[in-house]
Amino acid sequence: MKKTSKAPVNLIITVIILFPVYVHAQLPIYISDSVSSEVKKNAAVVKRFENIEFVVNKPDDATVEFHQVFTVLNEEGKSTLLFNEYTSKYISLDDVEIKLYDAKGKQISRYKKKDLHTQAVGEGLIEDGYVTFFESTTSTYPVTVEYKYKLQYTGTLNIPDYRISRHSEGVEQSQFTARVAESAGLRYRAKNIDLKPEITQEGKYAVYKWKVKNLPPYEYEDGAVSYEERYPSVKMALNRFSIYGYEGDMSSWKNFGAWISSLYKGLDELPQEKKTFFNNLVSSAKNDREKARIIYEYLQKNFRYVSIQLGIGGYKPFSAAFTEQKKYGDCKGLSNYMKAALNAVGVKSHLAIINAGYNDEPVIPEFPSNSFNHVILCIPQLKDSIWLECTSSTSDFAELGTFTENRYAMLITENGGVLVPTPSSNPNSNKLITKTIIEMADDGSGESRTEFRTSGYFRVLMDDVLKAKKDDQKETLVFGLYYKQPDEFEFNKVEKAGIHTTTLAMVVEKIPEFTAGSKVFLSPRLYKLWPRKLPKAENRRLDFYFRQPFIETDTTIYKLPDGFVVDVMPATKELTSEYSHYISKTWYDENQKALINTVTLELKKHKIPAAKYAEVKKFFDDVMMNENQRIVIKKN
Amino acid sequence: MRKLPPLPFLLLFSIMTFAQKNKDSNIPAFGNVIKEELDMKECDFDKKAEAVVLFEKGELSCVIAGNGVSLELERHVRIKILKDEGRSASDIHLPYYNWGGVQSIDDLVAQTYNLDPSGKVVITKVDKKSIFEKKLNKRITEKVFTFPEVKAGSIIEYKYVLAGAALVDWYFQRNIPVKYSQFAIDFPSEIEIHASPKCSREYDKKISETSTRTTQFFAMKDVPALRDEPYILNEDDYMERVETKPVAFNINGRRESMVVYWPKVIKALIEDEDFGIQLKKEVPRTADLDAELKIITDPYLRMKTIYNYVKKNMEWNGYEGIWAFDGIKAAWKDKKGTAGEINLILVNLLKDAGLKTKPILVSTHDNGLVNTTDAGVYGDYGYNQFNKVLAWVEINDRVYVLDATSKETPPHLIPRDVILTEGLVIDKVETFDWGWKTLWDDQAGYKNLILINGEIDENNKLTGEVSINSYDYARLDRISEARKDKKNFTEKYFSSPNPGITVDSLVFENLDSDSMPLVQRVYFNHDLSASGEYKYFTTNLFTGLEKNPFVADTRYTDVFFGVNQVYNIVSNFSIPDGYVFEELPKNIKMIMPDTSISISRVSQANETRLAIRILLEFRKPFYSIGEYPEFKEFYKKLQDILNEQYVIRKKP
Repeated sequence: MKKTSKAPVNLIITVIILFPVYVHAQLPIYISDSVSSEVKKNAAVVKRFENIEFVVNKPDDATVEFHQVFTVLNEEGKSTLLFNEYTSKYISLDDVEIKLYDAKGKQISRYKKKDLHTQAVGEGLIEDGYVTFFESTTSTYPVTVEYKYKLQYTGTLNIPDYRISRHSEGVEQSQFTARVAESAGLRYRAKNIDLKPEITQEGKYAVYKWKVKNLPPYEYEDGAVSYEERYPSVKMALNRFSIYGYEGDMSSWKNFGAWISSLYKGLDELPQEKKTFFNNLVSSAKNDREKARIIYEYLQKNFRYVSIQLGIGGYKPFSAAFTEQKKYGDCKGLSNYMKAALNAVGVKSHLAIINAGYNDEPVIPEFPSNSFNHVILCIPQLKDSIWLECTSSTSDFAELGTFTENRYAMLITENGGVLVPTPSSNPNSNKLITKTIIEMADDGSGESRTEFRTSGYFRVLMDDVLKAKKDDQKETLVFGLYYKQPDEFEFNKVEKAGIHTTTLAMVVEKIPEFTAGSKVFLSPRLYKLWPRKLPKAENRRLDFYFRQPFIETDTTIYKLPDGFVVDVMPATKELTSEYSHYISKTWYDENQKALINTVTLELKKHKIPAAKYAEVKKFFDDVMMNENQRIVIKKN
Repeated sequence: MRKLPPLPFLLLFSIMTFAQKNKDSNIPAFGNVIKEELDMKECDFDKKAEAVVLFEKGELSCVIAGNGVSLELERHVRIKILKDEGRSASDIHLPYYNWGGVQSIDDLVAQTYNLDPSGKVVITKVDKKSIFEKKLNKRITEKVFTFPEVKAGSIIEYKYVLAGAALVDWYFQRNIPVKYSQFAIDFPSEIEIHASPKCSREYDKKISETSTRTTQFFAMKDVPALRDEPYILNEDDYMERVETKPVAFNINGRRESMVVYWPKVIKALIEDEDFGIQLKKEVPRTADLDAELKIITDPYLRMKTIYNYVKKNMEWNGYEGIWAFDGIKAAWKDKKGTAGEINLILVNLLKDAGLKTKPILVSTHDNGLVNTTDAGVYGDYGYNQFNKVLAWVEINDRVYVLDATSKETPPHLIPRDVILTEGLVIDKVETFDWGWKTLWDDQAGYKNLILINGEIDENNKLTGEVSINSYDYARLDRISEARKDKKNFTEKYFSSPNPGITVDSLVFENLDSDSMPLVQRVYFNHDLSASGEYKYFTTNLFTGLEKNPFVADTRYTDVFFGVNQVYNIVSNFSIPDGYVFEELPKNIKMIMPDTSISISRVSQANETRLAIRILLEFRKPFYSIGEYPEFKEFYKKLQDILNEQYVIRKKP
């Protein structure tokens, strides 16, 4: 009896094994119309089904198997048809199968690994790694694509996170299973979603299972945090990892830092004559800060950034002696060299491992993991430690910028890793102070002379303009800063101590914005203080990131031709939000026979919480509106 | 995808004899750097240059290796780094074809020169360990390295031999200025190489012959760097260069010309299994098409039906080329193919339906201009200049050019990527029905009719509707994006060029009709700027003419629009009670001296309404460098006219 009752079950299994394609074709997940409306609304793509199996046997032996089915609803979701996987010496790709189904769930095409293309990656001079890619093409939507593939890891410093969804993508069902040998030790942390795994024990493996069902899509938001942090995911890290045969411990920042420290060990020795050289170089310096400044500027002039990341060299720097010989290096190599040079003159510093990007979030202190992609240098001081970006030949000394400010760096010390905050961004680091005098003739033609005093972001911009060819200078002025198209112009640097100063002299055919009969309409300044609207504020879920906080101050003086009088002058305007401030004033100076306008625009912080974004957007819209006011003059 | 030269051509090389290479003295020896070069502070003909090529030398020669003969390219480059930003010129990538060991880079040496404080030249070599091999993909590998000890003022120098080289074209021009560049082609007299300089600047040419060898030599001095420019046809076509090809063999005193003429190329094409033969094959299983055609008699509609049928059934796999390597039958079965396969199917079906159709070979703008006088040589026929084949259909007196890989192009428009180029119609040589055709249609252009209706209220708010009717190429420009992503479309065409204006909604009409204009109805609102009792607004709203792209004073390449353009802007505005118009901008008509561009503006206002009509016409698709100063000046004035504002004032 028992036997016969079991027979149908066996039969079903056999059928499934023998006719997998047939069975699949019957499954609703391949049929476009069967997408539930809840996850379809505002979606370009629906993840119909996903099963990811992540197995860690040992720190140097792990696999991930993916099985995914997506229905692409329209052209906007086209990028889902692009299969794209990174491989390297420690990640290899096997067993790829890509299938395409039409709207009715009928298989249209099928591709294997041999159909895929492989291409070297890396923006640097030379980096390890390849992408293997394949783009399925379709002429109609909806279309369903199925991916089955496997990645083999012999290094586990970086392991895959569970990426649950992304913008315009709804999820019907998804499951991620991590089967991790106890010796490796998995840690995890959910982001943008409240999701807990089901945990069981199977022999020496701990098994974690996350499941997600019916998740509606998120809207794409401009100016948000770096892409990986925007949507629901579960981040993963192993307590014990391996990379290129080097084993390490990531159970704490201290231990992870100790591992990195071991890679850097003994690489910060300079030849004796170079040590002497640096001591001579800083002989007149009064304190550590000055020594550091002199060496930093020497480094900027004589060394250059080149990215060479091969094998463990992606984590371990070239020695200071090698860098000395070549005069080039990547972020590790140059920071390590700077450290060695400082060491030679008796200044102690620490390498600081960090994640870079103006819209990158700080790492989570309670969750040690390798989210780092950059190295800078920290010189500890009793107050206000000195931080150095060693890859830039244009940065000001001890100014990091939003690229690495406002977050944690892991300092590599004798006692392992220590997580410390980097400085907060300060609007005073990015200053633009302009003063313009315009002499206008009767016919509206005129000449202007502007002085720019700049720091930080604006200084780099001015330096770039200085170096550019004349037509490129002109394009930056007209397209970038929104100046009127000049007939002639000169852009020059003023060589003097203190703040970086440049001048712009222009001859312009028509100074006024426009005229109406005898009325002449003048713009408060010749460029645009705030040229564009910020993205919409409705339903904002994510914080908004400006590139940097700043202070801009402008004084524009119009010397009017004889016989002209002021008809309308904009009233003084002051605007304020928690994060910003604006004030503009216009008046007529009888003595100079000049119209004078001053304005200050300050953005205090570059990251605006989502809840405050509407207020800040309104502020900038109002600024733009006020800046569109014109001064009206007329001939008496 | 190029066809490989036939085997006999390759074998011919093996009977050549080899002679001694002649050395030239224009280029200093490797390592022979003088102090003056190191003291140099700027490039004399480009003061802003961050780096300058002091010299670049290429010598392409035939050498004997064992029983075979092969080509070898020796290259020697010296670069002066002038500014810190110029240091990136010392990152060198040398790609070569590594599949089956065809090519190799040998004898690579590289070093940096600096002056020490005492004024002595210091040399730092690039060590072998620091030269990496980077495999880019299955076929291409590159040698990658960077120079040590590089700072502003340094000189870097490298030289190598590319063994197994192909016949190459030589580019004098680079993205940094070049003080001196020379190219020598040194071949045994048995092989005649024709080198044609494609230069707009002065160059040197010398030919020296010995009894056994011929050396052709080209050089150019003070070549400016390239600059990115808007509206350029194809950058490569404007680069200073020398193009090379073999033209004849001299064997035992007999000259065998390798040059072929177009009739021969066409004959070969017609007989080619992957081209002409495919047109004779029958496309299977087209019963549904046949049924459809049975009831259509109008030839234009028959053509359109077939064109749409192929577009619907065939998906382009992204590969260009004129060939149907897999055959049209296989492609048809797969429903997928190369541009060649798809369009040969199209030609085949059109012919079958009794329409006067021929294949036409074309080169897209990206692929570069075709040299119509160069039909190529044996082994490298002139058809290699083309990257697509299209269908050329004659109905009554009208011609249609069809590309079934270009999904959005309606049958009455010449595909945008080949417009204003020369195509070669393929037909039996004896009939004289083959020949060159300029792909141009005077009637079709980039046309936008823009209707603006706005209402200004008491509270300084302008609310309105703009209806943009995009015809022909204007429609073609916008249609894919309109279908794909309304949000991006709004951003690209309306929000971003009109900052300060809020787009409330956008409605498309005629999205699925390729004979009607694409209508974009934009509903917008705008808080007007005001000063005292004045309010003012622009009527240059959503026109696509918000910004003048031509502000540069110097132009290195011709301005290529490709099509004629018409903008017809009709606007109506109403103003609230209690307001009057200030004096309106003048009615104006402006025309280019050669009459190729004209703009007229007429404004009329009564108590409460303003009507403006602007007509802007471009009757020329192309402006040469010589015409640029006038063109640029006109554009500046044009922009002023378009952006002039209208002012209203509260009645006292």
